[in-house]
Amino acid sequence: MMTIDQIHSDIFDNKKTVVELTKEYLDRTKTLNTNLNSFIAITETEALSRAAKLDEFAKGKTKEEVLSKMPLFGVPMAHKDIFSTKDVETTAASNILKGYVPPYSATVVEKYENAGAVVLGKLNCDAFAHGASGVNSDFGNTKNPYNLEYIPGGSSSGSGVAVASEQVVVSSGTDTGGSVRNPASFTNTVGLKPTYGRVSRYGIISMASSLDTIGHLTNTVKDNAQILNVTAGYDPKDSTSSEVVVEDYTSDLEKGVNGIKIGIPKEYFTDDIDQEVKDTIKNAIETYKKLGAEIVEVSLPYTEYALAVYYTLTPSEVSSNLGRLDGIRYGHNRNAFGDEAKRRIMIGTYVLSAGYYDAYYLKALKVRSLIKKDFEEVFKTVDVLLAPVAPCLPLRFDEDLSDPMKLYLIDILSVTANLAGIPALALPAGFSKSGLPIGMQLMGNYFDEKLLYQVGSAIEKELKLYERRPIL
Amino acid sequence: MTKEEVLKIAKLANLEIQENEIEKFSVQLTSILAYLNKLSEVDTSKIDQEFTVIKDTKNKLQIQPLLTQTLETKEALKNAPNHTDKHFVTDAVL
Repeated sequence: MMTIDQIHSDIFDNKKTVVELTKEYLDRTKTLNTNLNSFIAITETEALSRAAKLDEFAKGKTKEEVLSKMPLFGVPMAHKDIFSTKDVETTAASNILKGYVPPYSATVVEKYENAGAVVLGKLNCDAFAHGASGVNSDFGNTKNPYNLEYIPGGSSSGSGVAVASEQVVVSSGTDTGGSVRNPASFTNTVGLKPTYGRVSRYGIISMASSLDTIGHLTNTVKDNAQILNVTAGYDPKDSTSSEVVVEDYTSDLEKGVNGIKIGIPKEYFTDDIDQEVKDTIKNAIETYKKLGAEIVEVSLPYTEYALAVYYTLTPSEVSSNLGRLDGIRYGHNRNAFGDEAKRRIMIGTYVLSAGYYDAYYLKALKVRSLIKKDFEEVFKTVDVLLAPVAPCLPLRFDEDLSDPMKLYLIDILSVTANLAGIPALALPAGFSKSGLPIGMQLMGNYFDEKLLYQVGSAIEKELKLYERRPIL
Repeated sequence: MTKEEVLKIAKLANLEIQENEIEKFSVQLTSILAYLNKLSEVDTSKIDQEFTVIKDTKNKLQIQPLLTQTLETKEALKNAPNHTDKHFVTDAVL
């Protein structure tokens, strides 16, 4: 497994060209994709062409000169297929956008490119980001690399798998209700849900505009922080993007957790949560105690209503956003939507319709403000919160996955951060007896990503779970 | 949600639901809506709506003059199933 720093050593110290490195990662990607189905499209020609241009750029320059201009120089990565990539087909993993070629790139796609990353392709996901499993894609299931019979989580399913299986070093993703943290938790990777507005949403196919955040997955905490240094920042093309100053998110990685107050919200450890998940998180809590953190039991009383709020607001915003798919400017007939998209559009239409708007949509907005207040209160007494990401282990593909409510319940612990707009970092906490990854999440105050990385780094150094690679 | 309601909502949402799918969607949507009814347990009588999670809202409505990048007409039309060299073509509504 290579980190960003190790990729740079390989290029500058070992004198490997970006073309050679890219070829290695492309070969691995193609070989593994047959079983994993993490990629919808592998853009080999574009990747090698970009690699050659990067090699040309680096000629005659020192490592420092290159990295100061392009901090992600030569890093192999891939984009979730809801990120618009100019001249490269973008499907949102749905048949309705099959053949759609964006005439522009998302701001974040341009940022990765300007930073020197090499894009190997477009990653599979739940169609239109609807899901927490990876089974809602119109282009086949993505498999969990730790056990191919289990789901990898979602909606950024290909993103988690591609990083865990080392097809790429970094993958982009989106988190609207947990869609970066959930696959990170199920694939032993590190996934960031940034503060709402921290990273530009421009050019990324919208799911729920007041909840969507633009995140990414990596194998290590440091890699993850290095990426946020590139993606964060105000974008005038996104009217909800924030002008809060972008910090160096790597600067506190070695600070440790002495004196840090970690809140444990009791509502995230109820009887509904799988015992192995709870035990694994409790072990993480003990580890943090050992490392010098102060553990504080806290309460977020409106947690139990979060999922109902989420599944009222999200379909409402989805029904509005997917209204643009009318088959006139792009896309096929609306019959090409999958079942999950149709369900969400219909729920949204219903709860927004005359006679139901007050009881459902307006009500949900009010309860949302109570959930937000819970977090604002709790961050007056603690620095970060620690909790599981998912209430269960990854589900098996051969289980009955036909009941939508059953799949919605996987989001029960992750939607709260999206409703409040706060940042959350998912990272490895352990493995189940059956060998499946179990992740945890650190939730922080608005724009406190640097602290999340500091606290995450401390336990990563202790547990070293990135050493346990999937056997492929 | 009754069969009639499913069809009414589908029409509002500009979705075609096949005859053999109505039952399935009716069952699933009913189950989801039942879960959403949980919200009626919460006392929200003293709360104003909260429409935004944005913390800093200055400059939000400022129209930026920076938009120097525009899409060429040809580029904008290239994904359309029906178009002239200057327009999207759609069914007549009048």
